[in-house]
Amino acid sequence: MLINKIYVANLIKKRKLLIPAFLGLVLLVGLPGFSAAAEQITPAEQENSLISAGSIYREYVDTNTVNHPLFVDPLANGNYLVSRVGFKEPSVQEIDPSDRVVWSLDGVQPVSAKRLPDGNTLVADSGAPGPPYMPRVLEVSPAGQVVWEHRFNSLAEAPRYAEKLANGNVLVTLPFMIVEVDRQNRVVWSYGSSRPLSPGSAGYLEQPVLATGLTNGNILVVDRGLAGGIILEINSGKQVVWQFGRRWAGAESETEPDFLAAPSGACRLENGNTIVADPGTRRLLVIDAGGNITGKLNWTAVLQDYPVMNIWQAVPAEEKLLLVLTLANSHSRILEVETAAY
Amino acid sequence: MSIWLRQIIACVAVFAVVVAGWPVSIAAGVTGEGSIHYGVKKQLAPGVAYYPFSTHNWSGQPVTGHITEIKPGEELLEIRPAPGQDAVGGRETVSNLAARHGAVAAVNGGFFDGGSGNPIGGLVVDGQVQYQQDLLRTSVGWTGGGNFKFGYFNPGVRVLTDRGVFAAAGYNQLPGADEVTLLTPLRNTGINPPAANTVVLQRAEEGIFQVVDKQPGSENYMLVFGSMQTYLASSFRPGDNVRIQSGFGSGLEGIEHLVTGGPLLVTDGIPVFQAVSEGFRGGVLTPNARTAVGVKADGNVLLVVVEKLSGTGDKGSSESSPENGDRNDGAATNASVGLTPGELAWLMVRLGSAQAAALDGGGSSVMWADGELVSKPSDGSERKVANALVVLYQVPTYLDGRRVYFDASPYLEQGRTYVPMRGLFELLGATVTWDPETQTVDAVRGERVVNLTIGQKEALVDGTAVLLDAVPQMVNARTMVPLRFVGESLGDRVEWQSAPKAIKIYSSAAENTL
Repeated sequence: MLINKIYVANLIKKRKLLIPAFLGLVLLVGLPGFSAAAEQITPAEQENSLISAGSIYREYVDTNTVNHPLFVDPLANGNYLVSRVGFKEPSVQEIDPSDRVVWSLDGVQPVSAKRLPDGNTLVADSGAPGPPYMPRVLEVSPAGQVVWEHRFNSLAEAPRYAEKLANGNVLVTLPFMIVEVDRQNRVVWSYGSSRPLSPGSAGYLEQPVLATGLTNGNILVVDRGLAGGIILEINSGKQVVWQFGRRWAGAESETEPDFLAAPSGACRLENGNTIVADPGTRRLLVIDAGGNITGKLNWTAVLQDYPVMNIWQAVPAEEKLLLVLTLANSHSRILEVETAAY
Repeated sequence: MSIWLRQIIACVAVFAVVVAGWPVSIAAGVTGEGSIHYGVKKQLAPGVAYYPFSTHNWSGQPVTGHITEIKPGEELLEIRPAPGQDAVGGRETVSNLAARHGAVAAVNGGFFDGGSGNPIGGLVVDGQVQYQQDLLRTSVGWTGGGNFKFGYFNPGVRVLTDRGVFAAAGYNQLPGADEVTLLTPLRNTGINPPAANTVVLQRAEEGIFQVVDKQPGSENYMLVFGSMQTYLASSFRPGDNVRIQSGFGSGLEGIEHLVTGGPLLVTDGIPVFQAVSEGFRGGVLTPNARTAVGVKADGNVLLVVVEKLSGTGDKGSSESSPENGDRNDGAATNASVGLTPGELAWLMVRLGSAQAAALDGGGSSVMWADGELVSKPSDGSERKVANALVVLYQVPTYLDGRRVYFDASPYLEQGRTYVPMRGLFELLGATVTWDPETQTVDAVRGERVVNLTIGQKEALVDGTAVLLDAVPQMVNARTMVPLRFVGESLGDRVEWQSAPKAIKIYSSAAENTL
């Protein structure tokens, strides 16, 4: 930068270069791509359809204060599969609509738990303090038996989320990396690195929180980021084929509609749209394949009567939104909010 | 190609480079949090240096802080936990703890309950568990020489006796009906177990204790049996030997001291984001003042305090004084906005930590160095905390087997050991007075009268001249006298241990009792 400034200054001192410099600048501003430096790029906002804010049609009240729900997998039978974290008695619990615990798994530090079609449960264990004090992903039978497990070598590789892919492999979201692990515990695909990469380098992930497989074979990654999140679609060739969001670039960037303060989830709809949940701005966005916001919902009004301390997760799904909260009194809530069809 | 065309191309290229450079620098500013600027380094003692720093958080806001860097291995260098009021449940400012321990540096320690003052988690001092709550949080353990380890504190303390082996169910607490707990000299004076349930122990040597038939004094340990086990308490006889074995959990082997903090911040040089999994939530996850301890690849220890200077933003908060609230992004005018746990993890990596963990933060976070508080508490004034980590560079001094501290630490000079006269004489029961006009110190214990004058080698003991082997010195307003003089003047037994260096004083009162 300093060298450039000096060179430019010396050039301008030479008057006979003024005209070429001016022409050069005109050309530069006019060239496609460089306008990014001169003005903010915003996704073309069409006539956004505002998704109905809806009402809370189901509320789970949790008075436990030594741990709290962090991640919820809403099951087809109407139950919630809840990953509970905290400084005591973390566990996975399946809770029915009558708020009864119908299944549980102790001895884990679960940051996510997903029920599999065969009835098993896939758990991402962060390895936080407590036995067994080991980061791992494990598949557990309904009887609580560990039928498969993949261990990670270091707490720097603590899983954040895991799901089983259609091919039977497990897709695991790590702090700076996404890995696909087969049943023989071999890493058969990966994106990113076990150590933080430099911004802008291939495979750079700032703070991925969830990676999910798509029907087209690609994966959708929610990169919460350090200041501003991005949703990425990555193909098997490790190319980013679609993305939405922007990194923080000054306070004014926070007001841009495509700024995701702290995205926690995303899913791809059958029509090709992507729903993104951003607890950081309390918004649900519907984004089309062109990166345009075609629908949005702000759930601030839904929570107006709740003294919210933390919103841990917002689970987008068709016609509903699941919010996982802890309140100022350290009690927690799981709220199901109805939304219109997208 | 015409000259004009070449010039136009050159100008386009220059402008392109200038323009393209902007996004890169912004990205670097976000993920790299900006560069770290270090202030002037000050050597506090051999192996101990202090320096301030400034940087920015992920949103480009200013952050200031302080570092004490310790190179382990120096003789006489020690890092210890200092419980407030020398008791579990006691609270005291870091400044006070540092001053009366004669510390060269200090930071606040582990989390604590704001009501009871008890640690949240564990406390280990000199290899003995002083308090423990089973808590799934990262504890920070270390040897006195500065070898730090981070892990899950899961102590197992076994009491081996002729009556059987007992597992201590708690420390410095009263037991449940079918439990046994261990009370240590750091117990809160408010804990008074029934005599019938209590076995009083005197430390005989490392890990070995003897049952004594006496009212428990401040130096005694006690086994306290629950109401369903009183018969066991009565089966002990004076002179019985009891062995206490302590284990601290996987990954914490060999530690001598421990406090519970959390979350874990760095492992293998990579930031770890474990705050939520360790049960932190609410205001603790928002930008706050922070304290952390890190270990660099070369083994140097970093004690780090990050400030949150009060301004238009929200107050700092901590587990020790919970104030929950949402993040206030309007704190842009603060000179230091504090850090989130994730930002703190990245900072510790950038400071060179290979391993690191957080200690208590918010209003508890302070650093004391070279005789003064160098950080500004986020609450505006210093909070009384349950314990501090004190960095000592001094000759360890023991009185009747108990470690004692002075605001002016004993030191070695030209082969002689100097000790603070007032501090030591008062500890031995003397009354000390100072006359600034004559530069004379008088000490009286019973019928023994001792007089000496600064700068003069001759002292008077009960009117008889005694020649000191070195001239008393005034250091930081404290009279420092040769160690040998202490024994000669008051009649107490003084021993100098050369390896490891230590001063051992046996009061005549204690020896007469024995």
